[in-house]
Amino acid sequence: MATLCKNCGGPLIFEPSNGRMLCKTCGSTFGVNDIEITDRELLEEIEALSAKKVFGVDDVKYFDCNVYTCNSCGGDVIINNTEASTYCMYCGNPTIVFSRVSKQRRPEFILPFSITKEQAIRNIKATVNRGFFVPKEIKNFDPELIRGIYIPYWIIKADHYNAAFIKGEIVTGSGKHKHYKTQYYGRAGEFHIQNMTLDASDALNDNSSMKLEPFDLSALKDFDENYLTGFYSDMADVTGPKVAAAANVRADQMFREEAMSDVRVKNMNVIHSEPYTVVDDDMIYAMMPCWFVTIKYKGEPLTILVNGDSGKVVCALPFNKALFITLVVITALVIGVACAFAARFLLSAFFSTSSYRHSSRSSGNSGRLFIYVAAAAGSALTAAIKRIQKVLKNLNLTKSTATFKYVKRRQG
Amino acid sequence: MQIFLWMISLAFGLFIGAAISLSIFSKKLDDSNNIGDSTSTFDDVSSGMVQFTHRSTYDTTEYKTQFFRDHGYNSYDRQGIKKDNFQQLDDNDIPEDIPEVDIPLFKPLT
Repeated sequence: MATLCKNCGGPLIFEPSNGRMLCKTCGSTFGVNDIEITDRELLEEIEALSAKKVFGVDDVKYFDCNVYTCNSCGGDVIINNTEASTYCMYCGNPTIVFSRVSKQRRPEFILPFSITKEQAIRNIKATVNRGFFVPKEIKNFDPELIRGIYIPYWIIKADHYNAAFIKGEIVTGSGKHKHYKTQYYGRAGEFHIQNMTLDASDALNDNSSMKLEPFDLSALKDFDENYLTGFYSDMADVTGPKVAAAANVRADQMFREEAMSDVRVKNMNVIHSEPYTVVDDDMIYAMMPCWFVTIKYKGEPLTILVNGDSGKVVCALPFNKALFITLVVITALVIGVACAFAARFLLSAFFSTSSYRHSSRSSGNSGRLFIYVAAAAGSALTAAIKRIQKVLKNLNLTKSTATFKYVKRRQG
Repeated sequence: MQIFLWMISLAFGLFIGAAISLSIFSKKLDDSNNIGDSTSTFDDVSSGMVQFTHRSTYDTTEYKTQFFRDHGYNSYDRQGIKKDNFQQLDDNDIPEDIPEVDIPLFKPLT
């Protein structure tokens, strides 16, 4: 059901640039709270059909969905299990499915879109164009699919309890008696969580939605269906125990970092921790805005996310491998040859001095220098490999077919 | 001997060169292509600092079991911390998981 313009009867949509309801037919604008939705009684006329009725088959490939009649063109609008608002596939009119919103748990708050589709595209272009290794085809992208979707979130308060066993190294002695000793540290404690946002949509990968944070919770508005017009939205399908489990994982990560910063020794890592989170009863159900922009690169869809309030762009992009490898190899060769000459000089000094009995001290110093430099290079190499692996892992999220399906399954 | 020393030096130099080069360009790649890779921090979601109730230092791992017995998950019952989570949230409010759909359900705009 569209919210209709008082002046011309055309459908109204929420306009993020000014936070008002806009009639695209006559250009009138209205405050969100000034609009009375008068079509609720038409719910009586809405017909919900099963997949069997819609497709004429009773097949496991289909799942039950509801069909509503668009009151603008009379076309049937198909809604899946969790969609709350959508567009009519025939006339493109924004449609709100009141039955879906009212029958499910009603969101308490909504963070309205404040970034327009055009701003989202501009943000992506500005960010992508700064990327040194981003291929030209991506820099000159043409969006294939753009969806503004309200994602359901739980905002929780909780108490987190944890105990962590940490391994670390301390330096003992000094001078040539200096050496590293392994120590173990136990830290137990608790902290209070407030306003942790957790994605309540099962279909969207948590690792993607987490990166949209932070959301400006001070800008939350009381939920009003009018904000949904012109956008897609989902209802929460993540149940309570899953919320507790997700909160526990994130709080554990935070506790581990805080525990390690309390210990402050070298080469620390948490061997084991035992987290437990008690989530408060008063969880808040809110809708958060996100633009999903799909582009194609070498035939593969890449889904870029933009926080619909802050404009933060989230994605990992394929990189120009030829440029990356060329630069790495050339730089490695230049530095490598310089280091080889330095090493050759040190080795000559090492062998020449070690042949004299009284110079064992300086040969020992040269040997230690080699070991220290090699150890530092080894840890730098490990860190670099981990960094590249992280980029590749995040690239898989951007390429994720699950995210692409989440966006694409919406009509329009 | 000279050739051997040169070979060792070259291998060592190239190892250092590869480490430095990969370190530089992996950071550049991370900045360039891994966009918005951050999330809320401890300060964003907590109302203060962690209240540490126990701190200890050990020379070996043999105290690990004892540490978790006294302060870990199994001690939360004794401390009266464990509660039944989510009694307030009725699962009937929330739809069942959506099955996977491999075919488009919706016709594209014409």
